[in-house]
Amino acid sequence: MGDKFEPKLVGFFCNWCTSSAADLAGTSRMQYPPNIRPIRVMCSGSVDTAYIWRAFLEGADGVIIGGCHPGDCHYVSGNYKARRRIKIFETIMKTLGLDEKRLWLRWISASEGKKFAETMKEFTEHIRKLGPSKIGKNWSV
Amino acid sequence: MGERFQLKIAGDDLNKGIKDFLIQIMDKNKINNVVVPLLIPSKNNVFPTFVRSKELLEDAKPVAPVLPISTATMVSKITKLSPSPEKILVFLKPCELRAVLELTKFKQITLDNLILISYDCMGAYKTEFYEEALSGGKDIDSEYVSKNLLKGEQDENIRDACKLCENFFPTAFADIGIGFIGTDGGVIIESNTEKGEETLSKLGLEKKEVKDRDGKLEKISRKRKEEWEKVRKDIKGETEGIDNLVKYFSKCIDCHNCMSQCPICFCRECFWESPTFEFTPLNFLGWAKKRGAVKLPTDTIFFHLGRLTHMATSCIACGLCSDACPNDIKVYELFHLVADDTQAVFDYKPGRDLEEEVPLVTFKEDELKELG
Repeated sequence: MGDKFEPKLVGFFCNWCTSSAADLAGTSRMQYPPNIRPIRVMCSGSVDTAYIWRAFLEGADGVIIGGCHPGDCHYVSGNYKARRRIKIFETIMKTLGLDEKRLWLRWISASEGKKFAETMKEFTEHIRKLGPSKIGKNWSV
Repeated sequence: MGERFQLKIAGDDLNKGIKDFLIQIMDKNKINNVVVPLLIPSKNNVFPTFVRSKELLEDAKPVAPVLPISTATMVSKITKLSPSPEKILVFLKPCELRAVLELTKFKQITLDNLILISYDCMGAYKTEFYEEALSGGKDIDSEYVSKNLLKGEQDENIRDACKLCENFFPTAFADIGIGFIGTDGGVIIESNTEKGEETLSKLGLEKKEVKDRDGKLEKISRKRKEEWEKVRKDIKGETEGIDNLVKYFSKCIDCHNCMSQCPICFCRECFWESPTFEFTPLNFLGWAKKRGAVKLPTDTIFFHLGRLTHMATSCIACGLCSDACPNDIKVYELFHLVADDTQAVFDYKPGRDLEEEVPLVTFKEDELKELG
């Protein structure tokens, strides 16, 4: 790969939708960049924001959270709660000048394999344009 | 409700006057318990104390300008597991009152049988400063009462958080409020709730009309808000970006004192104290390999950022985090900055209203559409 910047991306994907969409994309042989490191969680609402900080501090250039479409949460309202948490997280990143554009929240249902592949492509290109994140470079965090 | 009464106090001795008022409330309402700042037996500091003996109440200093800990945390210790079977009067600074409201929302305080009293606070000194004054035999309490409480002057030596406090008066959730500002002379008592009204009705207090109390409170509030905006700008400049953030927290030793003193941080099983942070050698080898080095203790910035995401929406800006820091990091300023912004997103003000839900435990279906 040489000197070309390859973004390191971490994804927290809901078991019931986005993770299944990733499966569907795979079994349908859709192509998307290998930059994403998917982590399957039971619900987007179960992602403690501490783990998003952890991802950034450990060198992730971007973090994406994937959940069920509003109204479709397997646990009724987990995704709505996730949305508030992500909003708070994004606000803090903005206030502290930590490049909030590196955090995405997307709703991708189990049937949307194509949307999953496209979103991963988009996110990879988006972060590639932003360049490497500085957050994970500091060894004194 | 919303009625105002006059409290007659002989001379300038507010501490004695308010103590007598508390005793009057207790006698007339058959209340045997009060939580109030009291001079400790060694006479060199004042702590909130659960008092039952009228004799010991003689040493009460309700408006002592010191905030060694948040009384809200203590009220939680008393009423978390079950409501008190007996009535308790609780005397609080306005910041402590706000914390009591937040902790009630988090089900860490049961308000039943508590009667909350608060007052116009002109700030507290750092505990060390106050303790030194008392040890040196200085009558710091009387000076504070006559200069700061009764004349409304702001003392240079009070805590930074107090200098910037915009909510220094009892909110509508104090059952009973005691006012010194905009009272057209003297001390006034306000009853803000049914509970407060009922408690005061037995005292036979004289009603008093005041002309412009709200306006005067608002004026001080506005001035402090302007002051905060300046500080806010400076802190934002100082903390912009990860490298500046690391510089800002360069003295952090990972002691977690800021968290242990924070009235909002109540989790029994705290994430930051959990086995998540019991590492193996492989963790350190991995980090060192990746970043070249690992500062020890590690995860200090992670701790502060993570704590912000957990509690900033309920931060009441009391400043106890800064007081607790052994290395004088300006924790309060940064947390206040972030709290401001995150609370604004949901138009939420901690301690404003018991009915207002904490942003992180609720949601609206039709909001934040730009995110997903």
